[in-house]
Parts: sequence; structure tokens; C-alpha cells
Amino acid sequence: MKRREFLALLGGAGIAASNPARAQPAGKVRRIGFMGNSTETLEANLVAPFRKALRGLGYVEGRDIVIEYRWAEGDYERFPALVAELIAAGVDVIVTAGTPAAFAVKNATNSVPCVMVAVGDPVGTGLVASLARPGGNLTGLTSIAPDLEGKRLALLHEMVPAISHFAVLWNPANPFHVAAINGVQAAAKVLQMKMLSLGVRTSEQLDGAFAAILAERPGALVVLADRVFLHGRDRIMSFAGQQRLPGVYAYRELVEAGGLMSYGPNYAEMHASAATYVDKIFKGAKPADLPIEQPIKFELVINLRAAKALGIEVSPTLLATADELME
Amino acid sequence: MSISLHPDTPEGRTLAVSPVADAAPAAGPAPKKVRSRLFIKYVALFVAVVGVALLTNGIFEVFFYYREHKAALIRVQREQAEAAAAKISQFIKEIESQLGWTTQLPWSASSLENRRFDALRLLRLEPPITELAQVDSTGKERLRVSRLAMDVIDSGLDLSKDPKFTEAVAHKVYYGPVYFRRESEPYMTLSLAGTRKDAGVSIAEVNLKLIWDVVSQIKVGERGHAYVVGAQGRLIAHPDISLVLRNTDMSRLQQVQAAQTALAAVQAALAAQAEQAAQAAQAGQAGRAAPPAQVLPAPPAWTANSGPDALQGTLNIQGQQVLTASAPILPLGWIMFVELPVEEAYASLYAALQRLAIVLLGASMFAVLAGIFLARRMVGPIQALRAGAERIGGGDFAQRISIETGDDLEGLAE
Repeated sequence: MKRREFLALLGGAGIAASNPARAQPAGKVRRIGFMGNSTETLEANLVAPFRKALRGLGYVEGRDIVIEYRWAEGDYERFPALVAELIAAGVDVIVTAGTPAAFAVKNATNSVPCVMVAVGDPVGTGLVASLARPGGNLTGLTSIAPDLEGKRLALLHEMVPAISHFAVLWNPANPFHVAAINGVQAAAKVLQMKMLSLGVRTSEQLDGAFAAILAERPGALVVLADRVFLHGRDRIMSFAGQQRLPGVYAYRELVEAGGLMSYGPNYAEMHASAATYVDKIFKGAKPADLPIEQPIKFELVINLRAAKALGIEVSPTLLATADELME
Repeated sequence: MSISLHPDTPEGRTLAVSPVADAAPAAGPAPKKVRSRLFIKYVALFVAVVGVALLTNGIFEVFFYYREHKAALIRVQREQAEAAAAKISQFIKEIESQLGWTTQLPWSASSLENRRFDALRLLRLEPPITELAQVDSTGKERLRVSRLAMDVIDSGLDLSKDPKFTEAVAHKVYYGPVYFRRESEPYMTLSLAGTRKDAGVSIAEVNLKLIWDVVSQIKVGERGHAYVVGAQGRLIAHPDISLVLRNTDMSRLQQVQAAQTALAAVQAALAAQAEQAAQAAQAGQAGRAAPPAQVLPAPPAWTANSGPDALQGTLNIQGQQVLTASAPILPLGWIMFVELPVEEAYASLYAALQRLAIVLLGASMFAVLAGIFLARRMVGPIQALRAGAERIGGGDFAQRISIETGDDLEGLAE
């Protein structure tokens, strides 16, 4: 009897030892809530790197993760409802971009982790306590250093030194822009340029902005970083093309749509980096302890075709400095 | 034995039988006890011999295997540390050499626009440089280009008392302390003086985040990793970025202290050599004979590694026991560490011990079975002999038994 019990014990121990330990319980599907500012087609070039990076980290859609998409279509008023929907759907992490979207998440929940793919000034606007230790449930990547606005204006001035009056499109509903527009104003003063401030909250208000530009006739256009402008990029760029306005923008997508130049971080890469944050959160890290990343590389993209259409001769310095020249 | 099976003995023989009856039960269990003692003795002896042989062999093997394995691990770690240190040293040297291009010409010779063009090209070539300032020989900042801020020309900033300028002029190159921008990004000031005195100084703000890539890509075993410690024991790079951003002070760790002592010794030796070379050069220039060259000790060999004799590791910043190897990153004065959790080094030891235990268990079970079998064969004839002797012995038991136990061979002969 004793021998039999002992053998049974040995056998049981053997079977237990042979089971490999698994890091994640097999079959648990994680839900990611992706809240886009624009529409699926317009943000496709940003979602694709995110999904690709997730695949690279070993997550298979359908088996390990499921991504729920919600689109605001350029209307920030819809964010609270969309966030509530995602939370009700039981997502494990919310991924979104832009300061207004991040605030919508912050106001709705302080327990669901959120990865902010691109926010302008997380500390200044009050989204997080500090870049090194965000605290709370929000973490992610910051996109725009507060100084970049001055840099952009300086680049515009270098490209077209004759300009003394420019229009700037910004979004008063975006907490970051309140500081950013002051930066533009300060830079304009240094460069001795006059600024026409045009606040645009939604795509519908673009018409009013266009009318103001037609009335005031500034020599150039500056568009600050807000997803509303990404959403309406085709309209804005066709208007700028019609009016023969050179401009400098925060998003390369505007240059791809016909704008003259842009200077800023690579948002596609930031979306890919967001996947790393999602991965860390799934592996148990707390958003409060994950530091917020800042971009190292900033790209200067110049559209040579647009330059030619505007009759601008791009200086050799700018040609040599540019990271990408579009024909 | 036969007597105990017949309880209804006739009373006539009781008197004669009773001593027999008394002696027989006494003799009955006695042969049984003797038999099992002998049997067990044989089995135990057999198992003991086999067991001791296996155990001794196993322990010797495991002990030496563990020591050699650990020494090999530490050797690999040391090579990794040296290779990684070389990579980082290379990274900084490349930035230095690129920066050198901007300090070739004196300030009068080159127009500001050309200089700006060169500076912008440098920013394009070297992503880690976030800001580049050019200062003329009087310490006034003439040009500043930046990735983040507007370019500034002739700001008039006076850096003539700033170590960024003075140290570069004195020693040709200056490596500033690591600082954090916005409390989250590591930067270092690197200034380079021109080859000619009137070329001024180029000052670059270098983003060290790319060093983090070098460090986090280093694969050490399964769960080991590498990290870099700078001056005053400050953590500069670590796969866990949050530790770096929190300005973790590593100097309370034993292995860091040992490495810092070793680094100080190496730097002192190198400084002494440089001093001697400078004196000789000065003397040569002045036309004097060089002072007698003292035989300076060579920079001491780097010994700040876990020894193969150490059974315990040391604690790392996360409280785990680790084996550490390190290498200096000169002339920055940083130290590269490569650590491996002791459990992983022990893992192969435990595997070897496990194998030994399984082999011992199997062998001892086999030895028990074999011993039982062999002992039975040996003891069996002795049992038969004794039984026969008892039958033959009849009544005179006491004497016969004593003879028997001492003298089986004689009994066999009989």
C-alpha cells in the first residue's frame, strides 16, 4: 500500500512538472479601445504602424487582442460619449491621440489605463504630474515641445523671407493650443511678423477662417498641431493652393496633401511606439510608473512641387537640411 | 519449529519436552532474528557500497562543473561589458570627430552663413546632437542652431567663464555631467576646441537616449542585462528607463563601489602617464633634456568582476542576487555593468543536482532489489544449513546452537 501511494505520488509529481509554465493564461483576449480623432480612412496611415508594431510584439489580432475602434470624425464633442462606450465595452486599455481626447479619457475614468499617442504638453496642460512619473492612469508619448512653434515660424521665414503677415489656424478647444499660440505670437514678434489668429473648433468653422483670410490677405498660413486640421486637411490645402499661400504645418500629411512644408516628429513612429506601451501595460506595468517619451527626431518635409507652383526658390541650406523632399 | 506445531504433546514426555518446549520457542524466533539481521546486513552493505561510490562521484563532478560553468559565465559577461563599453565610447568619439569638422577654420575666415550651413548639416548627420553652439576665441557665442528652438545668430552670450568653454580650451575636449531636460531626457554637453587657438569652441548638447538603445539591446543570458553608471554613481542607462529617469543613485551597491575604485585607479595611472608625456613634450619644445622617465605602473588590470569562487552574488538595484562584470568607458569616466541573476547561474547547477538525485534514487532502488536478490541467494543456504543442523541436533540445543552460529562451515562438513 505504501509503495503504491509513493508511486502514485511520483507519477503525479512527474505530470505536474512536465506542464510548461505560461506567462499569460492561454485564451485570454485583451481588448484595446482605439479612439480616433478623425475617420478610419484619414487615420489609416497612423493606425497601420500601431497594428504592425503589435504584431511584431507577438500579439495576434483575434487570438490575443481585439481592437475596438471609435471615430470622432473631427468633432471633439463626441469624445465623452465614445469614451463611455469603450469603457462599457470593457476595454483593458484605451489608445488615443491629442490633448482633447486625452482629457475626455481622464475625466471619464481614473482606473482604465490610457496610452496617449501624441499630446502637446502633458505637464503644462495638467494631464499628468510629470514626464518621468505620470501618476494616474495616463501615459504615452508627447509630440510637440512648446518651442516647436517658434522653430516652424523661423523655417517659414527662412523659406520665404518676404512674408510679414501670416494667418495661424489653431483650436481654442485644445488646452495645449492656448500656450502654443502664445509661443507663435512671441516668435512672430522676434521675427517682426504680424499674426492673424484664427480659432477653429470644428471643420464647419473652417469656412469662417477662410473668409477671414480672403479678407485680410496674409502672405502665409501656419497650421498648429490639432487633429481637427488633420481631419480637414484636404479642404485646407486646396484652399491654400488656390490662394497661393505658402505655409508651414505640424503634420506631414498636410504636405502630402499639397502643403509647402512641415516640421515635427514622425507620428507614424509614435503610433508604433504606443504599441510598446500597450505591451508593457498588458504585462502588468502601471501607467503611473511608465515615463512619457519625447521624440528625438524631427523631420523637415518640403513639397518641391508646391514650391514650384508657388514660385518659391528653395535655398540650398533648406534643401540640405530637409529630411524629405517630395516631388 | 516442529515442536511448536504440535500443541497436544503427551504428558509423559512433558518433563523432557518442557525444557525442549522452553528452548524451542526460544530457538524458534532466534533463527528468525538471526536470519533477518544477516539478510538486512547484506542488503544494507550492498546498497551502501553502491550508494557511496555514486554519491562521491556525483558530488565531485557537480562541484567542479559548477565552478567551471560559473567562471565561463563571468568570462562571457566581461567580454560583453567590454564590447558594450567600446560601442558607447565609439558613439561619443564619432560625435567628437564630426564636431571637429566645425572647428577647423578660424572665425575670421568663414562667414556666418557658411558656418550655419555646416552646423545644420551636422545636425542632419548626427541625430543625437540636439543643439550646436559655436563660440569664438573670446568666449562669445556667435551661432546657435537647434532642433527645437529658433536658430540664434550673434546672441552675444558670454561663455568665457563657463566650464563648457574654459575646459575645452584647456584640455581640447570637455565632457559635461549628465543632466536631464524636463526631468526626463538625458543630455550631456560635449565641447571641442579647434585645432588653432583662434578657431574657438564648438559646444554640442548630445541626447543620450540613443545610448539606451545600445544598452537595452545587449543580451545577457535569459534574464541578465547591462547598464551604465556615470560620475557619482548616477545611473545613466538601463533597460528599465524609469530607473534612469528617477536619477537612481547606484553607489550604495557593492559592485558599483568596487568598480568605482578600480576606475579611479585606472584614471590616476593614465593621468600620471599623460602628465609625464606632457612634461617630456614641454621639455622637448623648450630644448631642455626630458626629465628622467620614471617607470610608471601600467594602468591596473580591471578586477571589479564577480569571482568564480564567489558562491553568492551581490545585490543589484532591484534586490536580486547577481553576478556582475564591468568595464570602464574612458575617457568619459563611466562604467558599463553586465549582470546575470545568480539563479540563472545556479539553474544549471540545480539541473545537475537534480540529475544526480535521480540517478542516485534509481541506482539505490536497483541496488536494493539486486541486494535482496543476491542476499537471498547467499543467506538461503545458511538457512537450510541451520534447519538441518537443528534437526540433527535433537535435544542438545544450547551447545549445538552456539557451535552453529560460529561454525557454519564445520556444520556443512558434518
